[in-house]
Amino acid sequence: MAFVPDVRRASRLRAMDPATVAPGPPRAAPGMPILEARDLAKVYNLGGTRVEALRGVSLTVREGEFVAIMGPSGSGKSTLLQLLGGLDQPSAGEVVLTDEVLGRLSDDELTKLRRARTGFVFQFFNLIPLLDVVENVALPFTIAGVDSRSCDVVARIRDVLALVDLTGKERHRPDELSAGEQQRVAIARALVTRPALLFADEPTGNLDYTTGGELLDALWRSSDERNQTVVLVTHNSRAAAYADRVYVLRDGRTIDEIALGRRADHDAGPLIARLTQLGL
Amino acid sequence: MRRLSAFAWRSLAARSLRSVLTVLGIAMGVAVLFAALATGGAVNAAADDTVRVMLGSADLRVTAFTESGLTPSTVAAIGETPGVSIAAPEVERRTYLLPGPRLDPQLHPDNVIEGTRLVPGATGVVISERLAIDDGLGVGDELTLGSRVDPARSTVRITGIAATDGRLPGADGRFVIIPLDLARALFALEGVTRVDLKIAPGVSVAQVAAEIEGRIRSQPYTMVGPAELAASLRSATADFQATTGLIAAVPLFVGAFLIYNTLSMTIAERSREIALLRAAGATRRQVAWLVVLQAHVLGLAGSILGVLIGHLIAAWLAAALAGEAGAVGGVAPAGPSLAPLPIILAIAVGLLVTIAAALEPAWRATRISPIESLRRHRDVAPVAGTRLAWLGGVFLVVGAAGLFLWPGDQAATGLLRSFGLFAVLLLVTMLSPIILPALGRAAGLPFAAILRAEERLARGSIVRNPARTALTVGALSVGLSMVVAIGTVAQSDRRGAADWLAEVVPGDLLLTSIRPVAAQEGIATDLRALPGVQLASPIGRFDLAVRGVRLDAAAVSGSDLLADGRLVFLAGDARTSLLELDGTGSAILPASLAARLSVGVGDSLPVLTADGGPGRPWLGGDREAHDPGPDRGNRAPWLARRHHDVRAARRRCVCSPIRARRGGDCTSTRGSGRPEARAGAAIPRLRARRRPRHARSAVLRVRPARLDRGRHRRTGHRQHAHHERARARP
Ligand SMILES: Nc1ncnc2c1ncn2[C@@H]1O[C@H](COP(=O)(O)OP(=O)(O)O)[C@@H](O)[C@H]1O
Ligand SMILES: [Mg+2]
Repeated sequence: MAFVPDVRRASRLRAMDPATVAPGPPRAAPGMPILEARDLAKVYNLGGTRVEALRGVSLTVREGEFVAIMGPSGSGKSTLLQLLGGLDQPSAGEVVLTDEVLGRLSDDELTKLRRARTGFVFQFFNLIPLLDVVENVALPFTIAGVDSRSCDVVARIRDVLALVDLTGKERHRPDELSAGEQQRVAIARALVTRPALLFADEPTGNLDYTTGGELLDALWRSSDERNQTVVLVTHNSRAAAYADRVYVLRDGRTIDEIALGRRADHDAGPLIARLTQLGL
Repeated sequence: MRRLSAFAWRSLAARSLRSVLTVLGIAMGVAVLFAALATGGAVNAAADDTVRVMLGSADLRVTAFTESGLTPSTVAAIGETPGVSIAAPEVERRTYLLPGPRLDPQLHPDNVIEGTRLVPGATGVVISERLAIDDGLGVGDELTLGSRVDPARSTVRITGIAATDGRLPGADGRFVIIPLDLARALFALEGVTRVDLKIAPGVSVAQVAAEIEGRIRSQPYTMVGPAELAASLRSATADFQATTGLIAAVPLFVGAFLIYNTLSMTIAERSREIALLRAAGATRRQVAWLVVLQAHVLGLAGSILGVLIGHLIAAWLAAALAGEAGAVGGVAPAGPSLAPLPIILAIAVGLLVTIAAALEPAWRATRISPIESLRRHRDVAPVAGTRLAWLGGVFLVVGAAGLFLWPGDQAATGLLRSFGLFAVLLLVTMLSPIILPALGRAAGLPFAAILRAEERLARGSIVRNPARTALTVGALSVGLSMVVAIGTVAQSDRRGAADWLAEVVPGDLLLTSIRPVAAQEGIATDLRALPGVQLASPIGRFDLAVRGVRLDAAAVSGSDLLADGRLVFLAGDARTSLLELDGTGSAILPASLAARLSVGVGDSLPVLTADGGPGRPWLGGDREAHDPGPDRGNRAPWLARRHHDVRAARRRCVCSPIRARRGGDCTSTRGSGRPEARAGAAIPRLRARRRPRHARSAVLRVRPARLDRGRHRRTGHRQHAHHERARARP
């Protein structure tokens, strides 16, 4: 019997590969802008009262960058991340993600763009309790209709689980894992499609110092070893110190942009000094 | 998990108890529906079987309209009709051994299972298997047939036993086949009951029928073929089928509500997971599909289980029906048929209802925003009672679809009634969020004083978790509606089987003679003499033809009926009309028949009388005529004429059912009186029949239009009328 390659599956996999979606230069020189926000505003209407969560935020993320968004609680960080990742629509302004203007896409197109080019890690509830580790990690493939038992997918899952240091826990259910392990599964799921952008919203918010460090190390490895573009939202300066660049948000506005540069020691000292200057 | 659909499975399995309950709910609905369809199918199949048994391979049957039968000249005329290849005259009489000398060996060839069949010139008789078993008879035994005309010839030898077909209407499978000339001798007959015809090849039945119509002008007769007979039997059962279909609507609705509720709860519980799926790239269509898939799984499992349960119900129903002589429209189903159509239909309806109920929850699932998963606290959205208007629209669509899906030959009115039922159920469901708390408060009142905290807690849990409460209520209603459904079906069957006379005519005990009893035989007098008997009122039953339509008719004593007072008059004065029955002779018609014939009080109706001529027109009347007809002395009979008049008109007395008011019970009447013994050979076997209790209460309670709702609707004669024209001499 002749071997007939599954062309459809192969092409879907390629669509999920950042190499084909947004080819870019190697790590050394920061690449082209991969994400741009222009004058983003978001107003929530809460029973008559207007909450202006964002009041004109602009930012640019280049390919391969590790960018952090910092700010006190309620400053609009999560809102900004949702808009950047195409999970919600801004009240004004626009987001350009891998050359697509998100506001111009239909819900279906936006959904498929999320599936193919982004990965998310949230503070809580990243995993589906009914599914085990491998099934949770394979979820984007399952949704895309790619057989998660095919060789390439199995290889990718094995690879990404090794990256987040979870080899051996493949058949565990989320409730059998520690909080830190659960968050690392979430990172694995976010990375398994090799997205153009990884968005993480307070991924360490629930974790103690050590497990939080492990998680940040995993994020860093993905960025440093795989040239993964990362946007990290945090109120924690230690976490933000992993980033190349930090946007500081207050009351829905960017009040500062701090370039830290790529540093393997993640020393939070310079960042804290600057934040103190800003009175935060 | 290879496919996203597996997620639907897992989420159902995670709530297995709820899923099982829902499946059971749907199963019950589909079960009742399937039972209705399968029983209907079985009843139809039985109708076809009955036709086969009755007509054999005959193509046309010419039946005498009168008791005296078709005269030899008529029989000869029929036999000589071009195109007729076999003309088999038969005599059928009921007697105390229920001999049915009816089956011509040429047309009913294969039913002798032991001994020999009747051949021309034979002296022996063939009896039915049932009779052989019941009475312990075998080939070679002697049998004495009841005959007061020719007792010398009434003892005959059994030469064969025929396979019994228990579905032969009215005969209970007990029949004796005797040679035609013997039958004529025993019953002092000139004519025959009917002639079965085999049409020669190449000639159409219609041609022969037209030919016969041209030839026989001297006496009234009816003519039917297998198709007409089957149609009339089927139409007699349509009412039953419409009723069962209507009943099936209730559990189906409850099943649909369960689905709606279950899916709504699942979505509320899993909204963060759905949001997560959306964030990870699941489209709205995929999310909706997940919900519909869950419904599909529940619906399919429920429908298949429902067909299995429904098969059991249908078997039970068939057994219940078979227990009643006459059953539905004179046809007893053999058993549930596992025909593919009812199975497909039941499963299709089950699935359709399920998926329709899933549409709103599915739509709601697609509205869940991906950022829902970011929320820290899982707040379960309120479920039941929010978008029930949506649900209403959906059921309207389902109902409309049902109109097309439903088998065409069933009454559309039944469906309209189902619609009304759906509307009421929907209203109740919509009001349940309002009703439940109030109900909880009311139910808790007695306990409130003693167990304050407990009462509040219990009530709180009802109110706080309306979805779960509704699920429980839904499950309960399924059970309840099942019980009601089955009860109603069984009840309506039993009532259908009951004689319409039993409802219309007074009395506590109905004695039915199996042959006409003459007034001179004095049986009524004998019965009156029995201790405890207050009144014995003779009743005659016969057929009448009015405007070519064959009708059930009865001759009764008007004064007895008046004394009883259970007939309710919609028009006319009860006293005058009833007393007139005993006097000049008038008729009382049920409202439905009056409407169908477009006659009112005081109108006259030409009826066909026994001698075959058009009867003198009688004035119809259950009231003094406001517009007296030309001949006021003769009134149109339907329900009743004084039985003496009928006897005079028909030259014999038909007072077969005799109702007696009794003090003791059935056995004591028989024990003390032994009417059989007293009457001697004349009535060797009186059938005593205890009147069903419910029938009596129904008559007493439902007064208006009692007559209208009488069982003539179910006897089949009315339906026969559409297909079987009594043909009169022009
Ligand atoms: N869905 C929402 N509806 C109404 N107000 C919201 C919503 N999400 C966020 N907000 C408000 O917008 C502001 C910014 O919130 P958020 O982006 O979550 O801040 P952060 O993540 O920096 O703590 C807050 O005042 C918050 O109350
Ligand atoms: Mg936040």
